[in-house]
Amino acid sequence: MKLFESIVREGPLKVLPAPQVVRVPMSCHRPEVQCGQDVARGVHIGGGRYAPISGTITEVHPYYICITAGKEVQPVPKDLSGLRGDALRQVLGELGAKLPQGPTDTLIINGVDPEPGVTAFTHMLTEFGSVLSLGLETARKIYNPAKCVLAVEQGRPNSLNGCDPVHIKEGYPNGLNPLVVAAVTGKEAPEDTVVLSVGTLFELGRIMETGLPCVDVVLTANERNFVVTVGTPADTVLSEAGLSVRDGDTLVLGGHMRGEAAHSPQQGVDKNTYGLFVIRKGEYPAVIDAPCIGCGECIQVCPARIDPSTISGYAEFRMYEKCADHDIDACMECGMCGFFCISRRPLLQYIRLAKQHLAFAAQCELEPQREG
Amino acid sequence: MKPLPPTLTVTAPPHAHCGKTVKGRMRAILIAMMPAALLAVHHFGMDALRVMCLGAAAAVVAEFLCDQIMERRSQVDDLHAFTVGLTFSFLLPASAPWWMVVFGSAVSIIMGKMIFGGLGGSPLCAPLVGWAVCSLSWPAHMDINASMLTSELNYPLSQLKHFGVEAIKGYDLDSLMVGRQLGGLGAVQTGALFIGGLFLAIRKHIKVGVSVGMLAGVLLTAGLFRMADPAQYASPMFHLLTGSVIFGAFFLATDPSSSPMRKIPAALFGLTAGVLVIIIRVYGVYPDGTPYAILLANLAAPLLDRIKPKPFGKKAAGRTLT
Ligand code: SF4
Ligand code: SF4
Repeated sequence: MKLFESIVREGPLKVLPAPQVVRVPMSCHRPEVQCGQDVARGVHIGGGRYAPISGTITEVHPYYICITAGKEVQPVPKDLSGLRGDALRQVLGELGAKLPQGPTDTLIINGVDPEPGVTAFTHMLTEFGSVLSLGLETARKIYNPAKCVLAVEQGRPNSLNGCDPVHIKEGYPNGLNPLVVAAVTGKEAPEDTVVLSVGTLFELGRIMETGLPCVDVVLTANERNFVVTVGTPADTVLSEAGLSVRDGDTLVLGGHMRGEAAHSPQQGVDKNTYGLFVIRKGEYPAVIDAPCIGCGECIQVCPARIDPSTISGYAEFRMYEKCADHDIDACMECGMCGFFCISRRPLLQYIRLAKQHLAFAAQCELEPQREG
Repeated sequence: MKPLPPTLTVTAPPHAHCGKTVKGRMRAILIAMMPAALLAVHHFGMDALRVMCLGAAAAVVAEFLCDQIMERRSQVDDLHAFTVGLTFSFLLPASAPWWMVVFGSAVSIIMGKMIFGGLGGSPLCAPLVGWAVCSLSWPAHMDINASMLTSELNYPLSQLKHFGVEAIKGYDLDSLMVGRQLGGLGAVQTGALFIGGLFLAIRKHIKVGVSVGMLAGVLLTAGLFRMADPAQYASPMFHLLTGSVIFGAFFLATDPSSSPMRKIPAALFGLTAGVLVIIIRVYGVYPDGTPYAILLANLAAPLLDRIKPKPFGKKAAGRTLT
């Protein structure tokens, strides 16, 4: 896989019809529905997830809720007109769009495709201009920014009404939110700046249009872009895109660098799944439990300028406090370190593990060294 | 019956990889050493081949036995032990007795690698550990001059040490470059090693900062001495092309675990080693200071690694005391 390729896709996106069965991914949340219950589209089913289709709940699993399509029930839209500022933000939050707090000085719309091989974001900019404009208008109402910026990859002509375009150097990980902010403002982690991705604007736009939670997501699969319903089983999208999985392959929801590996081809896509990739068995050297050999590759590619080798070493031995001493909190989870590690250590996994333990320890005030 | 759905592999991101592996890197290093090995056989005959084979074999066997004793899955197939053994034998005179080759190679692996927990743990460059033990224990057998008796070639550094600049007038740089000199059997093939080193640098298999720093250190320091008194000190190019400077800069000092990881510390590390080479050559008792210079610089590596930039979005680096 190339980290620096720049791809442009044009033409209308393919809209997949809502499937008969959806599996809405959930984790660590108490479901608010029961098996056998009838739900209308847009009803909260737990953990900030909403029923993407009307139908009957057929399975409540710790990791997903399965809904089988039934009689179309007309949902009741929320009235969003006239709301502004934080009130609007809160109502949108109740409709599934979790937004950072405002108001802010600079609003940055990140239109750079999130990962190599994904073209969904730029494609949205060309095809969904009106929805995105509505989303932008909403964001403006919430944040009341003095300045609005659209960040796009170098050489892209995309625009969004009323936004100053800023060009971001091509190549991963330059399009990540923290790096885009730094490129736009010239400051690292400044206050008074809010970044929203094009995906979020799309969600806002759809909510404003319908008054209901957004149930669509735009994703890239096999070099094409699709609009699919949240919870659509991955294999439905795969067969539409002409891909198939075989034994031992990895099916990635998201992108190569940060995505989540699906446990089954039936797993439903989430509302922030921007890509669907199949990685063939043996295509890349397998991750192994190997020691760091000290080659320094990971350090030199880390955009946060921290030392993933030392941090992962400490995480390996459950010395999470040491990880904090080595500035693990600066990590933006881009996955570059693991991509380049010649020992093929699971660096990002160690880092996430340590971060989780540190967060947990901060919450419960447990001794992070002993617990684990 | 419906066919079973495929079983997927579930891993943590990133799901892609650049494709470089330890084994691949070792293979590249071995390829880079090949021209020098061939030239060594050309200059020193079957003796050189004997030493190289013994060295590599002993290292592989030693690592395998260590793994057995430590009760862990052996990873000799990553070619690291083979590389260490071959690197060690490159530093020996072609006349080295078989038992010393075997012993030194085994010591390199045991004391320079396995005792620290295996690949990646060692704070010292493994082949140099074996070299240091041998040169302290059997100075007579390690003595390059001893092998002079059977060869028409000379050991330029020893002549410089004992007879001064006058004695080395006869060497022209071209013949030094093709290895027409005595010294470590592979280490003196400077031209071939330089090509190998460039190959590694271009393929990004070594920390280039270390090599550049070390070569610069040697040239600068030797240049300063030369400027001070041309009648007493040899030219920088002479220092560069004799002994194991080139070999050290590209193959020894760049050892991943014993050199600093960031760019600036790596360059400083190389520079330290390069300066020490000339200081040892001028003031020390050893004609070629390279191995000890690198070992000394290894000791400074953890200190140099403390030089680090501010993390993203932070005012200063965190509390990093260890
Ligand atoms: S994931 Fe790795 S490379 Fe990326 S910021 Fe974190 S430590 Fe650095
Ligand atoms: S890339 Fe891997 S082997 Fe190299 S220093 Fe980082 S963790 Fe260690």
